[in-house]
Amino acid sequence: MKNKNKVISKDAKPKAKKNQGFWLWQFLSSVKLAVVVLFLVAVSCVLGTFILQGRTPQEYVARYGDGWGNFLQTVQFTKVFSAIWFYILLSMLCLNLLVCALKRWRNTILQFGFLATHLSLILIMIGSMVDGIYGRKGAINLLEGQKVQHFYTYDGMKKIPMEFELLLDDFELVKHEPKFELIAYVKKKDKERKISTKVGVVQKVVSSPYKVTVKKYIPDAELKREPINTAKELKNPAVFVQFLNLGRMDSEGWLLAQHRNWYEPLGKGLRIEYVWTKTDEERQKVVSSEIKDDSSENKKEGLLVVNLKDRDRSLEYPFRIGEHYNVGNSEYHIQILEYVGDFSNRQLPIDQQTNDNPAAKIEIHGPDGNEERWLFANYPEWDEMHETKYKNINLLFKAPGSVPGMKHLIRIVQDSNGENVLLYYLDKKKVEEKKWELDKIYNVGDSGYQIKLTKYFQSFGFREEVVQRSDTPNNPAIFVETSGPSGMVSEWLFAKEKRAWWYDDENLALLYQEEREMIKDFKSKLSVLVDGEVVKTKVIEVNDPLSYGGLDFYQANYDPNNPKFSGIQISSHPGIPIVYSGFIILCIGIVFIFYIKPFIKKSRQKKRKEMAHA
Amino acid sequence: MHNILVITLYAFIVSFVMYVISAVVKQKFLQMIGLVFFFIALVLNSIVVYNRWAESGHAPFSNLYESLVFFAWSIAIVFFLMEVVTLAVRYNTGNRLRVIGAIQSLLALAMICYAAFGADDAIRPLMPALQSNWMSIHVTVYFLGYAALSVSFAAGIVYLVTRAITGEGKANATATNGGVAKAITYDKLGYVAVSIGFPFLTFGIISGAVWAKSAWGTYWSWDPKETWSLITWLFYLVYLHLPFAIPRLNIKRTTWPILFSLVLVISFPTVLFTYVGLKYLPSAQDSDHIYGVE
Repeated sequence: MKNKNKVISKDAKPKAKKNQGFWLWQFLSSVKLAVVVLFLVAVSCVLGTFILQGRTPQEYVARYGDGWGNFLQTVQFTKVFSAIWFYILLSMLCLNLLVCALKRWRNTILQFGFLATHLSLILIMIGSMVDGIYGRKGAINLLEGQKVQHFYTYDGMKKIPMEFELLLDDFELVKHEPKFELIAYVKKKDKERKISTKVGVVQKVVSSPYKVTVKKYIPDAELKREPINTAKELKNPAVFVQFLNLGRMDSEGWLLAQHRNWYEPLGKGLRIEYVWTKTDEERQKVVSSEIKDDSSENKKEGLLVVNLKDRDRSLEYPFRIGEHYNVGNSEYHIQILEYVGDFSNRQLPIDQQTNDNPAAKIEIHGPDGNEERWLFANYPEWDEMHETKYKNINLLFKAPGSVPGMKHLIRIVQDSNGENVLLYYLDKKKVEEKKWELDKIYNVGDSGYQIKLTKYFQSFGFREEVVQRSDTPNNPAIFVETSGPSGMVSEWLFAKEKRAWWYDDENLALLYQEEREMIKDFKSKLSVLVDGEVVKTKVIEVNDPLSYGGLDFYQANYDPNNPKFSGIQISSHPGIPIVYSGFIILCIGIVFIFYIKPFIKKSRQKKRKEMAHA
Repeated sequence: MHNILVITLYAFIVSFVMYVISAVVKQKFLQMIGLVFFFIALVLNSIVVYNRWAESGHAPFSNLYESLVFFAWSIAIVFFLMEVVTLAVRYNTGNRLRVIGAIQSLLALAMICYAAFGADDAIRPLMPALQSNWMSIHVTVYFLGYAALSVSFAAGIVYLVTRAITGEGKANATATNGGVAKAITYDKLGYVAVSIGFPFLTFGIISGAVWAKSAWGTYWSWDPKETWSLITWLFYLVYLHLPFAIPRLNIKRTTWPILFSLVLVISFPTVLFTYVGLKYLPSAQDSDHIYGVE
């Protein structure tokens, strides 16, 4: 630094003549001016990014208010980079650079870097100016097979003819292979995190006590559930009941004493119950008891609760399939479409489903069209947590128990000692009582109905087996082992299920899903035609344009909804050779100044010192 | 990979502590231990970067996590080389780097820490515009430049702090440790760091322009990211021209270094803003550059 300062003061002396031209010369070549102009350019740039550029006057008034909006536009702060004062600043910089370079021109090797950097900047600015004046920038939107001979510029939408025709032969949108991701959500922190699905690697859910390990991966999985007897002890007694109508099989399914312990064949006025008792006494009680008219448990009807958030109102409707409701005085109309006893086995007939995960499908008709939603009786927070169209409506659903007033009631009673009793009530009056055995057919009074119990499990359970259907990732599934404060839990997660799985402490949720679709590449096969003859063909893609006749064609856009559409950007930059030469000279100059010159200087100093010593 | 990243973090922490202690008790021995741990951290950090590159199949700076790890790596490699060269060339004055070493370790460990515990480390495919060889050149050049400029930032801060504590003239004396003839002061270190980093900044802008031309058809479109890279460049350009302008102004010679250091301290935040802050700009919605960072 000291040396450089000396150079300046040496320069200043011989030219210390006082006249007007000299003053201007001195001013234009001064470093002070350079520093000030550089600073002003920097400040303008800051302004140009903090104030939105190139918007409509209305937008500015709306954003900054009347006074400020108009002021910013008057002083061209709303188009800094094309403002007159900005160009004056740049011209000033250019002039400063030039005068400075001329003034300090020395034909010594040490000056090379200085001249190269300063003159190259002038080149770059001149080149950009040439582009600004003679350059063109515009766009063409083409459909496959379409030809054009002109394009429209971005500024002012001028129609510019081309000396040739451009044909889009083909457009190709390349997508990435579908990818699936595992998301962990920690409720208390309200944080979502993506977890690697690498098999066998323990993944810590960052800043939480959970560890997640993907144990298995199946690209195309299917869950098969088969009822089995899991133990000899009485844990979860179940009977398999067949219901026959006039000797023909009507329906069949499992009744679980501790879960879904009843079944009502559709439209038969019949209810079958499976009652399991621990002791003899209990059994006696059940057998001898009369059916009360309003046993509340039996009467429980499903309920649909509609919360209108903006009104802070909650409305209740009876849950009846097919029913329509106008929600209060609101613009919404709700229809109950479907009911399933167990959502994950909803493909089974309703009577074969357990009552484990009752769900209802609801349709909301509103001002923006229809929306379908699934509601889960056991997961009331589900509706709140998921993306919905009508965010104003929050729905809750209470699963129906049973419909009262059945004509026929069959009670299959069993106790832990293996005592079996079959009870038949007609119009709530006990008509029959007998012991039952497996695989025997029992008549339901004179109704013509019959039932048959074919299987009995002391401990009903499912053998769940996830099987691989194919190698293509149609429905990928991962078997995930999660450990945390509530111990270790393993679970299959299916990408297509789109349902989060909650860990026992209800703080961690895992969701396995397909990633947002990403475009890998998009390509256009373009042909240039002169007089109908193809003279050039190239497949362009992002980062690889086609050049012809002074114009460059860039792949710019695609339309996700139209696979035949290609958006092409066109530019011509006649100033490019000047700008790029500037770039090259600037690089060489900079390298020289900072990485070469110091060493030349040092070696010269060393030589001088040695000379002095000698 | 997360484990190696965490070990890297620990290595930087140890190195930071060693540098701090060595700066306080003025022990060359501790500085060396600090340097050794800094080197270990650098090696581990390199492994993380390399692995990520291999795993993702693209240069590892396409999102915040990757760029943070790479930024930390750049800081590590640049400062390590600077320290090694300084110790080799001027063994006696290498001690000035103790405080700088502490600051550089701190910067690197902060980035690794955020990458390890705050950023999304999922591998995502590159969007089409980023699928170019220019990306690795452009980003590498920039981060190496940023790393060198971070040294100038550290030097600026240390100079201002020592100057504020010890007063005029003494700031340099404490740094020279016994008046070695060719003492390098913190303000001069700042200048050296900028003269290493500034060329990279220049190559960064130019490579970015050439890349933009091949991807979007224009080498310069006043996109906020472009504009801010220019602002950063201009700040350091002003800094580099100050030594020529200042003798003409009526400013006491002893306050010059304060001015230089101040400019350094002000300039580096513009670097960081260009790197991560642009999403807060109102004009970010118009940018082609602002993505990946969430």
